[in-house]
Amino acid sequence: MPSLSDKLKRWLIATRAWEIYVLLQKLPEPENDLLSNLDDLIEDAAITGNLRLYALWPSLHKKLSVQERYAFPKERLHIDYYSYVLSEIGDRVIIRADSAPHHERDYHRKLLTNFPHHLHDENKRVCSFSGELEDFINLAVPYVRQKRKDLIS
Amino acid sequence: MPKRKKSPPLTKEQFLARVMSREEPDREKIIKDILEELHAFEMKYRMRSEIFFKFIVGTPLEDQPDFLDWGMCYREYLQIFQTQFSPEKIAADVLG
Repeated sequence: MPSLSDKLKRWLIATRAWEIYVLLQKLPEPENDLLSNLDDLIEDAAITGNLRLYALWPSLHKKLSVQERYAFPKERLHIDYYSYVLSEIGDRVIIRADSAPHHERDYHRKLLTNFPHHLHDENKRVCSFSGELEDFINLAVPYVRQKRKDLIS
Repeated sequence: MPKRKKSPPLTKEQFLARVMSREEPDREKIIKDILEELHAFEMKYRMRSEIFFKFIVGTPLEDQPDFLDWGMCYREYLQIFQTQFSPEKIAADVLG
């Protein structure tokens, strides 16, 4: 039988996974069945502490990877670390954001407004970033709606 | 092309109820998947995960998507074994 804390952990992760699922509604509907797979991903996350999910749009040659690592201080979910990557299928990265403390300054040499959160823009430049998945998705919207240029006839 | 099957729409409450009603996860399968993933990174970069974690994670060299994924995956591996062999878990196993 899972302990109470395992159940609580699973519930907290499931709640966050649902939030992510709702945020993804801003993008075109993923072509993989994200909702069916979420249960398995949540189970994995309850054991590993990491939630890793992918939204795929093969017809648009796009892939969004959302990875979050959780801690559970005082029975609450805290995102300890994340990596959000929007790429073309074939792995050319378009934009990505993470909270690894690799950069202190943006490409203008100004201090990041929310260190360690940062974003690599489509020109691979380091920019300030809020750390919120919602903001990343807002930035991703125009890219995901766009077909790959070399495929447009 | 056949139409892709879509999940029926769910409310948050239905989704949470579905997740919470599931059996305990298959820990062995999760470990196997993680080990396979680590092995794939090790083959790709010709480096043991332990070495990667010691010398690359936490440095500017880590700042590329594959390495961030690899670091995340290795942390999962550490997390599982930490839980598996924590004093609390061992005590619980011994005491039933």
